[in-house]
Amino acid sequence: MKEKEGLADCPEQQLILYVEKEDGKYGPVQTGSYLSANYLDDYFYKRKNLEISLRKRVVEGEISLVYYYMVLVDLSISELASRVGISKSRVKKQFEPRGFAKCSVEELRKYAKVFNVPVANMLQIVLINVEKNYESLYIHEDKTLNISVEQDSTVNPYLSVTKIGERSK
Amino acid sequence: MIIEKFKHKMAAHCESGTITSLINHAGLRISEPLVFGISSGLFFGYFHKMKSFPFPTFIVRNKPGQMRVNITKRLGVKFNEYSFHNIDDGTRKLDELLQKNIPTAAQVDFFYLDYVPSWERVHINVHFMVILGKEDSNYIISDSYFPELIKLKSTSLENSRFAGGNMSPKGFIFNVSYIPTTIDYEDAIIKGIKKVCFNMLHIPMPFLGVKGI
Repeated sequence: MKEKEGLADCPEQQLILYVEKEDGKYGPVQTGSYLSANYLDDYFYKRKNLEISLRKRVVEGEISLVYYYMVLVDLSISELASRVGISKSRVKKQFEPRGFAKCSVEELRKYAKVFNVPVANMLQIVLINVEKNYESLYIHEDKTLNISVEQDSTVNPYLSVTKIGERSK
Repeated sequence: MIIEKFKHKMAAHCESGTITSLINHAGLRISEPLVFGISSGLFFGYFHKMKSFPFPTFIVRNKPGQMRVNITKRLGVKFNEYSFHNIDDGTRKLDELLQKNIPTAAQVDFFYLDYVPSWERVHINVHFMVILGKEDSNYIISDSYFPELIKLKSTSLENSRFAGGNMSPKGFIFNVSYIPTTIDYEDAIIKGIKKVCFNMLHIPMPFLGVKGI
């Protein structure tokens, strides 16, 4: 690949490519990610729609938050089961609200750790108002809003503290 | 505490970048492409179904961890390697090595690394980075995918080192213990190339090597 072909403008995600330079020699060049520079809007659009459709199914009682998070973080059932330390069949049962009701608090804590959310978020979806639309905090990317919602874990593994306030500039 | 002499450098691959940084810090000047080639890093595999992901994926390098093994075999560089069953033991050992100013590489799950852009963060237990020091509750990280040194919360590092699932890191850390005085680069390079040729041409699986492409 020629140096010019490899260059992309994406300050958020830099990488090293080995390219053919103008003098004909190969060497490293630091550039932005081509994929991130060109396809991020499409990714966020699809991810937002996916979250909305999953949220609708959770709200209607069709699926549990275990399934909701598993799809959003792109985990397979066997990988989720292995990370939580329970059987695949038990995970599958917990995809539905009836099976989810039999989850122990300890299982919820383990799920929360895998999904990197506070335990409280295994029983709720936090939404924030963005231009008259509610968006899930879990996938929200816009850091320019006036309001900030921070969910901090504590030494107590079953307690998180949610702080809502004006975003400091 | 930060290991001041350590030179952070970006790299094309995390494992070859990490190994290169550690070896350079230990006194042997070698480039990332040379490490990548000698350790037979080049590979291809297409996986329609993989245990970790619910979607088809492909890989473009050899098995995670294999580069270190191949570098040991072909260059004679030796590493101290540590795995842990207990999180506290793993954290204590890492802190102990950092106290002695020994830059230590770790195998981690990408998902818990707060500094990685959200769209890049997936559960995959095969990322490598160098840990240089600790300041309060943050570790100082040299991640070869990022231009600058980074601070990472100790809880995030702990979660990423001790994530479960496929190829679980089990807190795996390593550092350089020995650099040989003389190295036969020609022999090492030929062995590296031969192994890549074998892997790309002769593994009898339809989804690996050139057949996979």
